[in-house]
This record gives sequence, structure tokens and C-alpha cells, in this order.
Amino acid sequence: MKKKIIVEVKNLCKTYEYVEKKPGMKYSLKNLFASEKKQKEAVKNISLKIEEGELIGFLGPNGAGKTTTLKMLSGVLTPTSGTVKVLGYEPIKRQNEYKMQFAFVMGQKSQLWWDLPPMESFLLNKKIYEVSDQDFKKNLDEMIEVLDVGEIVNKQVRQLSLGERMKCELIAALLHNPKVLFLDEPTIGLDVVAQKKIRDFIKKYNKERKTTIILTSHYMEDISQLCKRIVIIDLGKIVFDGQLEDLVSKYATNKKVTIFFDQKITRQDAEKLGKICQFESNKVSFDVPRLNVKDAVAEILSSDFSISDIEIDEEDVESIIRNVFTK
Amino acid sequence: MSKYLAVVSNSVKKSLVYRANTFIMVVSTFFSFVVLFYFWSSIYGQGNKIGTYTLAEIISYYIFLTIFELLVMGDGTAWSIGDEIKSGQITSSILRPIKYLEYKFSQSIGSLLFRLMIFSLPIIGALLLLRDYLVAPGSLMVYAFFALGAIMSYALYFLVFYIVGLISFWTGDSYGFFFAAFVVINFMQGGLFPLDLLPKWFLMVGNFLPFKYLFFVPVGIVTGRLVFDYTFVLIPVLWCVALYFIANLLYKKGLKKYEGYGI
Amino acid sequence: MKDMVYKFKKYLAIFLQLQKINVMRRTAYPVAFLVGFGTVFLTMFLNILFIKVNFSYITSVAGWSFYQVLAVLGSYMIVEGLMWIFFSQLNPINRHIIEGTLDGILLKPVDNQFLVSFWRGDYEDFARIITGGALLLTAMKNTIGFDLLHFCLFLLLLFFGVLIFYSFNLAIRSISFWITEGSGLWIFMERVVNSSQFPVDIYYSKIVRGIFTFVVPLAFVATVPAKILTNIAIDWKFAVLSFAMTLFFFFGSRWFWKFSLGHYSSASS
Repeated sequence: MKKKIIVEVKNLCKTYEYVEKKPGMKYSLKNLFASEKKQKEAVKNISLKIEEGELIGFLGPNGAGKTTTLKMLSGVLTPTSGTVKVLGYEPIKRQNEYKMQFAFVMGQKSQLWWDLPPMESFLLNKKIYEVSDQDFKKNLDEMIEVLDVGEIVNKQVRQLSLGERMKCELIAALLHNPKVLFLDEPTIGLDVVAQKKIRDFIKKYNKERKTTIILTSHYMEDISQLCKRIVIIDLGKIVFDGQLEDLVSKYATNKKVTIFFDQKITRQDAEKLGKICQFESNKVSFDVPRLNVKDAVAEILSSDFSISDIEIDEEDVESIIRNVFTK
Repeated sequence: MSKYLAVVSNSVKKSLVYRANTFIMVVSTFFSFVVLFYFWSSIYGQGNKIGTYTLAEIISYYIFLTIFELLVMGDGTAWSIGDEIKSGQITSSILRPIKYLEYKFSQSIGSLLFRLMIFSLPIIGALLLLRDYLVAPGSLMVYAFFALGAIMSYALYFLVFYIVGLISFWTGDSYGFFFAAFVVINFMQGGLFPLDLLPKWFLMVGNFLPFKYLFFVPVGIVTGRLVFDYTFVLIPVLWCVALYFIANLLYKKGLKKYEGYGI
Repeated sequence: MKDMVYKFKKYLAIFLQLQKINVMRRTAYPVAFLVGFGTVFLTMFLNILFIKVNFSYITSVAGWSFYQVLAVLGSYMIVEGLMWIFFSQLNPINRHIIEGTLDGILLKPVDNQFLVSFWRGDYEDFARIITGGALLLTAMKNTIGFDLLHFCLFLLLLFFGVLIFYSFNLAIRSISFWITEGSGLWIFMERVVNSSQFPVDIYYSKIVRGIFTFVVPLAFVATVPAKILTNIAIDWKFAVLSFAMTLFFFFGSRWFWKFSLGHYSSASS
């Protein structure tokens, strides 16, 4: 059976004006009377389709256009051109029926009241999203248990750690059981343990509730752990859209061949065997073009060094993506 | 010296960014002035009189008050110190090879220069427009005394609000407190109405406090209502010295208390 | 009809939760709250002192006696008090824009003008209501005494005053969508608010009085209600005009708010 299309984006563009600020007193004075307006194309001609229940990751460096895209999907920003449809709605019309069906979590901007326990913010959202008492209690209890925040919800937000706060942000956003969830940098600034907790929760939530989740991040780990499908955005354009495995086969030009030597070996000697990517006295890794692996290994084996073991791996995803961006 | 100049110049540049706000400031201040202008004119138009003031004298008083507001009272020293204390940024002031008080003073001078630059045209325009109401001093000496008073006033104003800012070491969330201090100081300097409209005893008390030297005295000199007296210099100078020492003491104590939290 | 009732109930529930949040938020720091409360009292006292000092030299200004001027001052305090308690004088709008938290509010399935307006309230400004109420009682006692018709009409006009003022304020704040650094707008509003404590009759120039009546609608904030409260003759012309101005400003500002919001979302990042 074909799955329902939840998000449909066609030729989406967004350009905005900004004022350039150059250093120096002369420019400051000049700016006072006439400021030069410049245009920036933040998103250039993006098209994509997202199916129900997908967990899709937007990956890219800061300023690539990920957040701008999310903002257009949610209806905060008006596209300069192109069309967006989410759940059959045009987001920029900002219909309340549409707003009831999604949630937007921003890693850097809190929707919780700073001086109050998160519970008060939950209650406000309950009323805003017209959540019934039973649903509210059920959803809340469930999430509190999974995220292990029972103690926290009655403490002032300002006293919470960043990780605890993020968990509460998620709860606040999910109380009304949205069909689509936009997550903008949900793990930014968190420590490794908290990152993993948040990730596990998102994964579980997506699996159990079939919520369509669109996530942006510039942490590779977030994307590779969570998303099957990734969209890489750079300079406002989609440079890759597909499964994680396809990314590897398409962009991984090299394999990593690691040789374990019986005795220590000098760097000069190792360099004769190929292009080194990691060097540790008796363990050396080489970057080898995928097509040449067989020949390269044969060559190394036939050299004068005695070798105890050989490993052949795919390049790690992070360096693949670096390849994508440097292209 | 050059490092102070760098702080001054940075502060000017920072202010220049807020172009729209500058415009709004001018319009707002003018708006308030118009209201009071009509309030007094309406009273005097009916043949009434407030105290010993002529209409021109009272309007002049408010013209100078408006100028004072634009040039000096917009100085955000207390607020910026409060922000730095709240955010913990102030600890980095220990690392700077420049004393905090002097750093803040340079910033304050920078923003004063900026306001002079920005507001002098509108101020001159308004003065020309209102020249019939302006009580101008008769002799050059008066201008010289006024200049002296204005310099004293600026130094005092800076020190007073520097100290107010430092008090947030102890008060924590301090905007309410700043506002309270501002309201009281504004009243005591004659920012609501001329202090000599109040009973005599009030003026006597005020003589020994620094506040009336912020505005009431300098403007009294320039409008010719006060005859220059050596105490007009002596008392503010003594206050400046005293406040300077209090400020340094508070800074040291405050920082120590602050470090106690391990921030 | 059922829809309307449901909607009303929803908005009422949100309103009440926001009030609860704001009371809790302000009282979370008792010292700051008390300092704020005290400062507001102090400024109110100084406002009264200003009038008192002037009236120690005169007996009336532009046809208004001391107690009538007090009634204007009292009405002004109550209108401003309500503006602070429920809307935090709409200052949060500029803050939301600067800090980027406005997006979060725009995404909520509630009328965004409603949510932004009621988002924050400063309950320490209750001090204004108390002082203003006391002034009004004094003024009433020393002028025409209590009269039910006058009093009810006064309340109605004061309510219009709040609405007109709120709308004017909203329109001014909406400008911040166009100029990106509109943080100075609050200074302008502060000045405008403060100016409504004087009867508009002091503007003997017809043009200036016209501006303060129709462009910057200060006349309807305090002067018109106070006139009804302290004069035997009821000025029906102004009462009707007040109602018309309320409609005009309320719907006009709502339109401008939406228009500006549209500009914001197509120009900003």
C-alpha cells in the first residue's frame, strides 16, 4: 500500500534583505543616513516529498537554510516563491486547524516560562491546544515516565539543566499528540548522555505513534542514529536526498584499509604503501579508492613487512559528508 | 590612553546602529515637552503664576531639562552594569588591563559623544523655534560657570549611577531597584519641577546631598535664577571624591561576594 | 452559537491560566515584587505632588479645578494600571521580536493578537489601581458626589479609554515589524501614556487639541471619563464620540497588526 504524502514542497525559494555592517567608524556614520540593503538567498529551489511516519533529517552547516525551510513548513515565514503543502494545508495561511496538528521545538528558543515550573507551561498548552483532561494526563504520565522527569516538572525552569529543559520542551510540544513534529536542533549544546536520551526518545516516539518527524541538526550523530532518510542542505540547496546507505555508496569514494603489523614501522616506510589516514606505530590505516582495494591489499601483503591482520571498512559517515560539502 | 579611546569609539559605533531608536527618542522627548509647554502656557495665559517663575523661566527650565534628558539621562551605565553582573560577564573585567570604573566611564563618554552628535541638530532647531521663551544668560562669566556646573553634573551623574549599578551585586534581579533609584534621583535633581517650588526645609536638606547639583543648580545658574556661589563647586567636588571611593570599595566588595558563588 | 460558546470558554481558560502564570511569575521574587510595588506607589505619589505643588499657586487650569484634575489623574492611573496588569503595556511585543520568541507564539492555534497581548502582565502595577481609585473617590466627594448614572457612564467611558489606548499602543508596537530595532518604541509609549494625566483642554491651540483627540487619542483615556464623573452636565457628544473612536481604533489597529505581521514573515529570517 502506498503511504500518504504528508509534506509536499515544490521549487521553494526564500530571499531576504539584510543590512550589511562593515567595521569602522566611517561605515557606522554612513549607515546612519543610508544603509545599504543586500539580498540573501537563504533557500534556493528546494523540492521534496515526505511520507507519513517518516523520520527525516535535514543536515547542513550553520546558515545552510535548514531552519528557514522548517519555518516555511510551519508557516512562520512566507516563501518568496514555490509551494508548500503540509497535511493538505498551506502553512502560510496559518489556519488554526493546521496549527493544532503540528508542533515546533526550537533547541535555542524556549517556550517554557523561565521563572515557573514546567507544569504551568504544560497547563497553558493544554488549554491552547484543547487537550482533554484524560488525554492530557495519559500523555503527560507516559512521557514523564519515558523521559524520567517526574521530579523535575515541579521545579523552576531556570533551575533545570539544559538536558532537563529540552525534555520538558518536548513534553510541552507533544501534549496535543501532533501529527507532524518539527525539531530544530533539538540536541544543541547538550552533553553526550543527554543527547542520547533525547535521541532515544525521538526514535521511540516516532516508532510508536507514527508521527512524521522532521529534524534539523548539524550533529552528524543525530542524523545517522535517527534517520533513515537524510536531506543534506548546503548554501540553500539540496545536495543529497536519500537513504543513508545510498549516501555511502554514492559519496564514499574510498574504503579504509587498516593493517596491523607485527613490529613497529616508521612513517616513511608506511607512506610507501599508500595514503595514510591514521598512523599508530604498528597499526596504520590507509584511504584506498574503492575500485583499487583488491590490488592495494595484494600489494601490501606482498611487501617485506610481516603483517598480523587486515581490516577493510567503509569510510565513517562524517568524513563522507565532509566530502559532500567540500565538493 | 589609546585603550580608553578604543572603548569610547566602540561605544559610539554601537550606538550608531540604533538609528530608528534615535529618531524615536527625539520624537518622544519633544512630545513630552509639548505637553508640559501647553500645561504652563495655559496656566500663565489665565494670568496665574507659579512661584516666582515667569513663563519664560519655567519654559526655559523644561527646555534645559529636555536637553539634559537627551544628552545625559539616556546614559545606561547602571543598566549595563546590572546586565554584566547578571550574566557573569563582569568577572571578565578582572582580566582586562583597565580599571572597571574607567572602562565604564569611557563607555559613558562614548555614548555621550554619540548623543551630542545625533541630538545637537534637533536641539539647536528646537532652541531656535523656542527662542522667545529662552532666558539667556547676560554675561560670558555665567556661561563659564554653567560649563563648570555641567561638567560636575556629568561626573556626579556617572558616579551615582555607577554605584546604583554595582548595588545589583547584592540585589540580584535589579531592574525594579534601578527604576526606584531613578525615580527618586530624578525627583531630587529637580526633574519633575523646580525644587524651589517646594518648602524651604526641603531645599536645606537638598543642599548637602549630591542630587540637586545634577540638574537644578547648573540650570539655575544658566537661567540666572541662582547667583554663582563657591559652594556650587565645592560640594559637588567633595561628593565626587567621596563617591569615587565608595564606588571602588563597592566594586571590590561586590566582586568578592560574587566570586564566593564560584561563578 | 455553540461554537461561539466553546470558543469563548477556550479563550477564557487560556486567559485565566495566563493570569495565574503571571501572578506566580511576579511573586516568585517577593523582594523584587515589593520594590516594584513600592516604586509604582512612589511615582503615583510624585504625580499627585506635581499637581498639588502647582495648585498651591493657582486655583484652576484651563477651567479644571483641583479635584477635577485629580479625577483626570485618577482615571489615567487606572487605565495605565490595567494596561500594565493585563498587557505589560505591550512591551513584550518588542521583546518577542528581538529575542525571536514571537515565532513560537505565531505557531499556536489561538488568535495571535490575543496571545501576544495577554502573554505577560505585571501585577505590581495594582498599586496604580489602588491610588487611582482613592483619587477618584476624593474627586467625586469634593465635586458632584456619587451619582449612579454618572458613575456607570464613567466606568463605560473608562473601559473605552482602555480599549482605545490598547489599540493605539498595539498600532505603535506593530511598527517594530518594519524597523527591526524598535526597542525605543516603549519610550514613546511611556511618554504618551504619561501625557494623558493632564486634561486635554490645556491645549489651547485647536490644532494641537485636535491632534491629541483624534491622532494620539489621549482625550478619551482620562479627560472624557473624568469630565463625566465630576460635572453635573453630561457631555453626550463626547460619550458617543468615545464609542466611535473605540471601534475605529480597535479594528484599525487589528488590521495594522495583521498587515505588519505579514510583512514580518516575508522579510525576516
